[in-house]
Amino acid sequence: MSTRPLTPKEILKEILRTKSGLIGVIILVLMVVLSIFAVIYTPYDIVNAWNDPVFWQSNPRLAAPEWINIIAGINLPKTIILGHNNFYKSEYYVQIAGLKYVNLRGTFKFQYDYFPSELSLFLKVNYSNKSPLVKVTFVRPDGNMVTLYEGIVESHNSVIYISTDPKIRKRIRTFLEKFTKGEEAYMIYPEIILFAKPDRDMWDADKARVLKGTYELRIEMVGYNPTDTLEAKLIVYGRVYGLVGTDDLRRDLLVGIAWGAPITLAFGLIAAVLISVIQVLLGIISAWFGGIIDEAIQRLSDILLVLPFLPIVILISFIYGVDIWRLLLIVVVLSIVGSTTKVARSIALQVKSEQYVEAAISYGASGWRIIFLYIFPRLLPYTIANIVMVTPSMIFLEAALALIGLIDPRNPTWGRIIADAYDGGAAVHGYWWWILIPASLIILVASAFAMIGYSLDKIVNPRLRER
Amino acid sequence: MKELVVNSLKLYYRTRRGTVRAVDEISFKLGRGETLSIVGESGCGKSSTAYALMRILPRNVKELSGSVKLDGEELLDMDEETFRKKIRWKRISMVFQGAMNALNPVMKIGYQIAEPLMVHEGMDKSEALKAAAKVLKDVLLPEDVMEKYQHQLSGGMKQRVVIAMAIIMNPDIVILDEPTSALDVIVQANLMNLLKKLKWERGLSYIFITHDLSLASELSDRLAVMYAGKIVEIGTAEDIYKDPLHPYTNLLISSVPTLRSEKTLKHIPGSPPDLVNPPQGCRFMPRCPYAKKVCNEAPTMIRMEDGRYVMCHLYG
Amino acid sequence: MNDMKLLVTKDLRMWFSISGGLFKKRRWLRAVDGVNLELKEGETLTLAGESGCGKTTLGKTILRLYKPTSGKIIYKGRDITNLNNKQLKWYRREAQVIHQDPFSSLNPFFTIFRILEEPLIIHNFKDKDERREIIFRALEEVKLTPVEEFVSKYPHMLSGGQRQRVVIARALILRPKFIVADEPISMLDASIRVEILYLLKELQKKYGITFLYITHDIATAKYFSEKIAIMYAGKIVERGRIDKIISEPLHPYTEALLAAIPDPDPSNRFKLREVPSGEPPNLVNPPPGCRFWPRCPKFIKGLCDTKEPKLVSIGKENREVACHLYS
Repeated sequence: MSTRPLTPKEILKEILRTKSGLIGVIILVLMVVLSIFAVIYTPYDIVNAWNDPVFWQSNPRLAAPEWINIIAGINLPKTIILGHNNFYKSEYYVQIAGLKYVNLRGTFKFQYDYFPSELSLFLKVNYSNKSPLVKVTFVRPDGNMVTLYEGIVESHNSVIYISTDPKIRKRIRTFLEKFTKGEEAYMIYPEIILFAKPDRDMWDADKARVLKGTYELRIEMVGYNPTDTLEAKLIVYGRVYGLVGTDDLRRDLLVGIAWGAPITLAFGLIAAVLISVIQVLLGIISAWFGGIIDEAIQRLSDILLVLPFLPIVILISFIYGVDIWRLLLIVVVLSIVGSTTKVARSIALQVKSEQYVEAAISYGASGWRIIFLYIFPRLLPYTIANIVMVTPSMIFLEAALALIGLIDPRNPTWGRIIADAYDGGAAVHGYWWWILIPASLIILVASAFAMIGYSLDKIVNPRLRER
Repeated sequence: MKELVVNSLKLYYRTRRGTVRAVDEISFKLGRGETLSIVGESGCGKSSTAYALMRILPRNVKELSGSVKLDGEELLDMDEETFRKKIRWKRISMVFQGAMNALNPVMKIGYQIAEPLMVHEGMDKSEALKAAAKVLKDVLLPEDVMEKYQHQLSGGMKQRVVIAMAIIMNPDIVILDEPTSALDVIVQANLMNLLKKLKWERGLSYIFITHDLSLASELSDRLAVMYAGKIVEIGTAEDIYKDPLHPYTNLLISSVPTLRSEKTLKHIPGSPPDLVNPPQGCRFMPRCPYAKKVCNEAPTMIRMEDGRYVMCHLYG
Repeated sequence: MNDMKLLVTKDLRMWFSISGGLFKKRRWLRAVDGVNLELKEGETLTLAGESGCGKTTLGKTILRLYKPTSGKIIYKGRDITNLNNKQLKWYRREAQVIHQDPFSSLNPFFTIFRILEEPLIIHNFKDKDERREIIFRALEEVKLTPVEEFVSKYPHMLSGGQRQRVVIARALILRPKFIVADEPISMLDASIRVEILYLLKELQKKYGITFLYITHDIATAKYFSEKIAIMYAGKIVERGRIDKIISEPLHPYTEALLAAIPDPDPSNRFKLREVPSGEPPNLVNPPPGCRFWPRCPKFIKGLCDTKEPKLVSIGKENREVACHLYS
């Protein structure tokens, strides 16, 4: 007969021995790797960056993950960026006229089947005294040209939002009318018209077809000083980006998820550990001291059961602001007594009457000493199993709280991403990656814990494994 | 029944550490109305012998071989069905160690005793219950026990129920594995009285397994002393208690405190060998006060003039 | 052996409450029901009886593992009946327990070293080296050698006999004056029992420890102690020198108890033992008068079932019996 206690090392070995436990641990290890990857891949200050729109400027909005191209067998465009290195620059100064001419020419190939989502042109103009004149011409593979902009550029750093600028829209409408021959075009989408095959349907998002080929952007500047010069960056925003896509604020969701992983795991685990350990300890204390303390703890659990959990959380968040760690604290405090306490109490009652505990009393061990050194270790396997089972609930809880608006505005968590997705109309508009990927990850992590918990069943249930 | 003859019985288990040679070639005979006690310390293989005879074995059995002949019929060769129908519980039954704790807590006692009769013998309910009531009388339990549940009975009463269940089919041989462990002295004495009565009234043969030599003397006509999977001595009760031959038997008897006589108690230093890797020679040699060089060779069972058997180099 | 009384109990009672539910009256299990005990220094007293007679409870109550329901416990002249745990700390150094089950009397999470260190730590032996020395010596004393091999092992790695030695070492490590040994050898193999019993006896003589030896096996008690008290249903029914009681039992229960114990005698199989049938009484509702009368072969109607016999001295040699046959 061997009723030896299990050390954490042995528990781990036992978990790894079963298939479900093995899979669960692998998933968790991958999550940890993901968390480490998050730190290395994105070494900047994520908290500030997540809330800074400028940071994500060169990403497309609401772009699906790039691998959708492979799976669906389609050809959605990736973002094409022509940085200032991609422009062929020629500049010369005509002294007699006192004019500086700068010409930029950039070309790119567009071979996709679908239109870009947006076009933006970033100009960096260096001038002294008088602001220069700038002309932007868009040249299509079929030879048609559109002048997008012609005018004075006042500021040194400016952005021309080709897709939405009303003046540009007007020019494009004029360009369009050459082909539609007076037929009504309802919505002018520059990013479609500029890239569409020249025919009557070239304005129609559903019917237009992409004109594939080499496109050119010409920027001509006329300035008044020899030192005046011009740099440009053209971003032809695609419809796919990265491994996980982007959200409505152009944020790379991979970053959000990678950073959400450690936070989600930490929240879940810390909450679970605190709740489990406190509940078990309270159960032991209840069993050991008995009497009034036992009664008090039982009454406390009755009260806590009755308290409305969610309204209290909302109330406190309303008064004190939402902070993920404060949220954690509230959740823990409201859950300190539960069914685990009752189970721990009955196990502790049994252990209390064991001979080695009696012996300890007789050589003078104090109650607290016995609780921590003699009784609690017996409950360690149960506590660990409990932690494993409670963690997924905590992870779901965090996501649920985020969905009802209790979001920590600073930290990106998976729950927050899903909440943002709902607010951004992902469900309505079909931005599937925005919801499905974080939700799947939550389910995956919760399943991993459940699988480990399943393999721990053998340990927690008093079952003799060998004769 | 006339005779049970066991020859070179072997029972080996497969465990993670290796093969446990729990019963390592033992032989004995049992006659009608006779009680043979198998005595030895814990782990010597006596319980395993019982399980082998009843063919109640766990899954990790590596080898069960040898010969067990009941009135000439070989039991180890029999297929499971035949053994179950003809032998188990009908001719050989068993009272397990701690059986009183294995009574069904949600079934009335009367029904529990009657159930096997209904299931295996095809008796109808009233017949079976009548048989149950009769056997309860035989074990000196009051009739109202039929309607009680196990938690309403004391330890001694529960053990009587277990004995009743073992004798209800009128077997020839009852194997008793520590039938009085966990019972108090007076209750134990009453139970032993019952076992004696049943033996005298029904001509039952017992195989009585125990580590308690004093208790064994209450029933034994003959004793087989087991050590590390082997029988080291078999003889009549008088011979074994008054004039033990094997050094282990001798030491075992000297280590039993007596109430009514004065003696110096002796103890046996050391501990029994590991049954996974028993020593090649005599298994008792490391602890034997008479060990000689020849003991490095395994001793064989020697038949003495007075009909006893000893496995020791001192005698051959 | 000193004549000083080490421990005295006066009319000690230990009742456990069995609540009858919200609306029923509270009921009591009278495990120990009026015990007067006296232990002299260096004495070994056996407390014998069957299970449920209250001997274990009496032992634990004397050790103040329970708080007595009523009565007194006086140790070395001090009344320890109602002291709380803090006030009892000095007593916890003087009085120790040896339990029955070697498998569950050692903390399975501690090494042997740590197990023996616990009492020392609790009683403020601050010097690590001193503790180490004491522990090593303790293990040598119970013959667990080589000591270095044993100190880092865990209890589950040891055999029953070895564990019981550790239990004994732990009981002795604070050099107690008084030990309650509750069935210390009944869970060990027959051949090991003798060894441990003799070890206990040797240590008892060496250190002059007062022992309360609790057992149901009177045969072994004979080899360990000189005096015996027989308990039945929470009371002491007979007391005196063990050899005299065995050869001449007075109380009918003592007679029955002794008659029930077999010696290893092959002629036993030819005769029945004369023992009373039935079981010890329910301690919640013990029978009125003498508690043994329902099973007593010498029962006197009208007397034994109404009046409770008191424990009285018989003769000169410190023999006491509680039975109407003798008063």
